[in-house]
Amino acid sequence: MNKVSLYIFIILNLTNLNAQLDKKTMAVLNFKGIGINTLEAVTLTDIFNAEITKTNISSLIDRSEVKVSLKNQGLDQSSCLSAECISKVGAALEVELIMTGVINKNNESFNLEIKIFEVSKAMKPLLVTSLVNGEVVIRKKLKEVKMSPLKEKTVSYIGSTDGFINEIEIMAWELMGLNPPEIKVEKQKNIAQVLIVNNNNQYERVIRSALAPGFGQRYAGDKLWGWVWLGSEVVIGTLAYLEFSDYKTSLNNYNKYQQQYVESKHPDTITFLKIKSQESRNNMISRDKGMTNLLYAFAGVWTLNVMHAYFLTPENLSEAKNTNYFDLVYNNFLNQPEIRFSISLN
Amino acid sequence: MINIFRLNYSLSIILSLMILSCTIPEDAFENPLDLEANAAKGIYPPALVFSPDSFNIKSGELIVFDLYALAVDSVAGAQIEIDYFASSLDFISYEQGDFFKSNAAPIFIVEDKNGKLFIYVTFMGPEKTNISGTGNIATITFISKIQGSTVISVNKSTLLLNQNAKEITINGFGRSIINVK
Repeated sequence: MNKVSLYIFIILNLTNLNAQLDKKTMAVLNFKGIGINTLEAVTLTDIFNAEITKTNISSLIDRSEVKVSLKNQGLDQSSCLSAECISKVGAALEVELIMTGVINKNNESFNLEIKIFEVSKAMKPLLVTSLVNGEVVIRKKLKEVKMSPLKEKTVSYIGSTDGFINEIEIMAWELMGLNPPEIKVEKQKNIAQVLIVNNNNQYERVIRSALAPGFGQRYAGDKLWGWVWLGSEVVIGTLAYLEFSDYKTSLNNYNKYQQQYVESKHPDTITFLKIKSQESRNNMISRDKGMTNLLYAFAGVWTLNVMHAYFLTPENLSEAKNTNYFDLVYNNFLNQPEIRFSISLN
Repeated sequence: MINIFRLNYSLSIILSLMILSCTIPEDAFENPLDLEANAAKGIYPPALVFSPDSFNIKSGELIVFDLYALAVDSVAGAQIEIDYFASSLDFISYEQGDFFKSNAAPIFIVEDKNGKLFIYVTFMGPEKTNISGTGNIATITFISKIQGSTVISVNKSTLLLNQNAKEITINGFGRSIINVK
């Protein structure tokens, strides 16, 4: 019963949202970039804007028009996040909805927060009369009302810029209350696979495997090898412990026989105890060698595990890389967007 | 994840400690009655040796050691001469060992003469006329007087006699080293 209520609530909510956005005029302001430069922020805003256009839900003001109009008004798009500023922009552009966003990038971690404001309800014209130098002056002001976002959505993403761009595109559809195209969802899955691989870069794997055998492999998604390396070390460690245990037993026997040997006054007993003592000592040496060899094996397996982690090629990587496609990506080195074409060579 | 780390670190630490704690003791066999050990020192049977053959003591402490006949054959009597430094040690007492014991009390005489201890021992009566093997002839007690190292040794003029009063060749003459701190 509760589920039915929930579904009804969601459907009504989505219907309501679509009704709120449907065919209303809307402008997307440049996203404010934190950790990225202005050009990057503008590029990502353009991508988002283009995707919003594809949804065909709202009537979107052309970006260049927004740019020119706000420039004339002396308003900065990206820093326009306050209710007052947004209201002014809305009034300047004569749109009903304003969409603002803040992109926060930290290494490979992205965070995009988008808010849709219904500015048409935010500002109402108001006539104000006042006395200036004994004369009545009538001025038109916009009365500000408390404005909260009509809708807001935040997406956090860790990975490449490609993935983030696709995430933005998907977000645009979801923000407009629509299901994103299947191709984009599929693409995101592929990127996610690549991301798994990217996150598992060689050095991270090596460090993890150096800290704990098999951990780098597990991190790379190769759990079987992870368990193999870990299991090998546990087995070797156990064998080494057994050798150590035998060594301790032999040492105790040696000490016991030595004590009896020293105290003995009978040549036959002395000879017997001497033989037993030597046997214990030989066993001790043997166990010590065995343990040393196992330690070398332990260290060797550990080293091999690290090397394996370095050379490991996760299965997902080849699958993901075998996808041929054109893609719009952001080049981190050139700091500019570019079109990329990938083709599988095998 | 934490458990895996802990497991590996524990394994590594345990292995390292195991290796570090593994020391092989010296192959030392120092029993003065050990024929092989004596042979390594150039003492071959039949011999007269001291047990123990070394002491580490403090000045003023007693030194108690046994005089042993080692792998002797058909010994009926002995005239044993033990050398010691009278300036370092004082003879305190002696006790007859069980090697020459029989139902008839043997002759057992000990004389201390300025750094020489003489032990005369021989079987008496018809029950037992000679003995073979290894055994304690006497337990002797000295006291250390000054710090330093000193030696008690069996003099080479020592005699072992068979029941026909013929001398038995002695191949080994034992000695005991005393370190007084």
